[in-house]
Amino acid sequence: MTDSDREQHDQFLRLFMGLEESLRVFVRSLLFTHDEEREVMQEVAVVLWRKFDPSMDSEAFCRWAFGVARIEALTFRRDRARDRHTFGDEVFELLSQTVLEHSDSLEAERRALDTCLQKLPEDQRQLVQTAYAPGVKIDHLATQLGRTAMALYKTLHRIRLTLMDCTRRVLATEELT
Amino acid sequence: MNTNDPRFEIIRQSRDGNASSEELAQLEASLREDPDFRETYVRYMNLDMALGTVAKAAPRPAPTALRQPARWFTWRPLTAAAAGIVFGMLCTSVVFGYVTQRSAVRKMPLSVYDAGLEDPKQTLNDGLPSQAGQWGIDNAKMVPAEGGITPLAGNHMLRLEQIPRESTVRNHTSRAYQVLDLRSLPASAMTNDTEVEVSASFCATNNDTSSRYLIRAIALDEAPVQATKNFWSKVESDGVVSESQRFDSVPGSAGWQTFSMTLRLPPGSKTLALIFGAVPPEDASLPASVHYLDEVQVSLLSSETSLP
Repeated sequence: MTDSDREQHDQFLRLFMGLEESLRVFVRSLLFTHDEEREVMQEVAVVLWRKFDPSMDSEAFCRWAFGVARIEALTFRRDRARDRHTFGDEVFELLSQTVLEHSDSLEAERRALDTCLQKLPEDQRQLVQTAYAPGVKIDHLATQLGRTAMALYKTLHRIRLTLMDCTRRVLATEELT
Repeated sequence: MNTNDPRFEIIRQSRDGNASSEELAQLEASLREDPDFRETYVRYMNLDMALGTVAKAAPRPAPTALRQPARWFTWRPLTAAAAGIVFGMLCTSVVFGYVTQRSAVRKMPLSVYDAGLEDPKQTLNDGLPSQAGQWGIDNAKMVPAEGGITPLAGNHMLRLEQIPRESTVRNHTSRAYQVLDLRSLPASAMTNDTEVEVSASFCATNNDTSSRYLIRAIALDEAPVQATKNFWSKVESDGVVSESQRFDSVPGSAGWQTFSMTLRLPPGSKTLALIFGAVPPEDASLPASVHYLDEVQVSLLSSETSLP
């Protein structure tokens, strides 16, 4: 790798890493599972790097990167359409707009999550930590905990709703102060 | 935010892979017609994604210890892992991922039924095979050398038929499937850090444009006969460990090209399903090429002390 290549590589990394979380939630909202999100994000990163233009500023990179992510998610959905239900183009477009319009507040909510996690009761915190660890199967975890999978799914859902409410309140408090 | 809204339950079912077609259609209608609900859905997915990121950065407590105090984790964006990103720009495939250090890794080949695709009389299952020890296909055929393409090894290979991008065609990827039964592996081979490496060789008739190939590996904790029932719905559930990688050939590169990927095998895995595919070009105006598959290899990677 020449100095010029390395400089371009570093510039790309700075821009990409600054945007990665927003791109990831954008892709997550367009697809159904973490596996799908991970696969599409991998492809998005490859395409962005391969076609990266160093003359782009951060704003232009952002617009371009979201466009690439949308195309890759669409491509993935088209290739996998036989596997399961997918959203229609209209909803795809509406979700894209929603994520872009709210990207700042979504980022703020992710940052507030740490505060809210620490407000959870200890057992709920540890349950989230365990359930979201890579490779964990909810069925297995439920058996180990002596519960049904459905009960565990619903518990995790309630914790997510609690955290959503909490992040909203944390951000509202920050605005007031 | 009204958490009593029954549509929250549909979001949960969708997220957990438990929603019916009717419920997904209902979710889609709400997303289309209700901007507030749409925003809420995006926020839910935002939080779900962030929790997954946080958990990756945290030590995991044993389930039995869930009620005991444990060290808590803190928010650590993936930016912290930037130094681990690798770009492979010098070979025929481009790799982008996070690198983990592995020391003293040993490799043990696993038995793939007719890895060289040499038995033209074998019955090729339509789609995913229901048991280990056979190949399954979608839009593919076993052939001898043809059109100037010679099998990489032996006398036969699998031809992955071209599927033009047409609006009436829903599945554009020609595929081959193999199911491996992992139950015969020694227990000592399946540790927390065991990975499986899958490699396959592909060849295209048209080398003027880039070709795209897919390798996917899915580990399931049921025996093959049970694991292959309702397979696609299981694959999409979050609990199943799955890894998929797409590879692009460099335009102008003729001949066979070999690609590989790895998947971490969770302890207790009993079945490994493998999918190999050729994807037509994104640009519908470009001709879809015929591709060939040969020499599928699967190996177990584990630490030096764990393999027999």
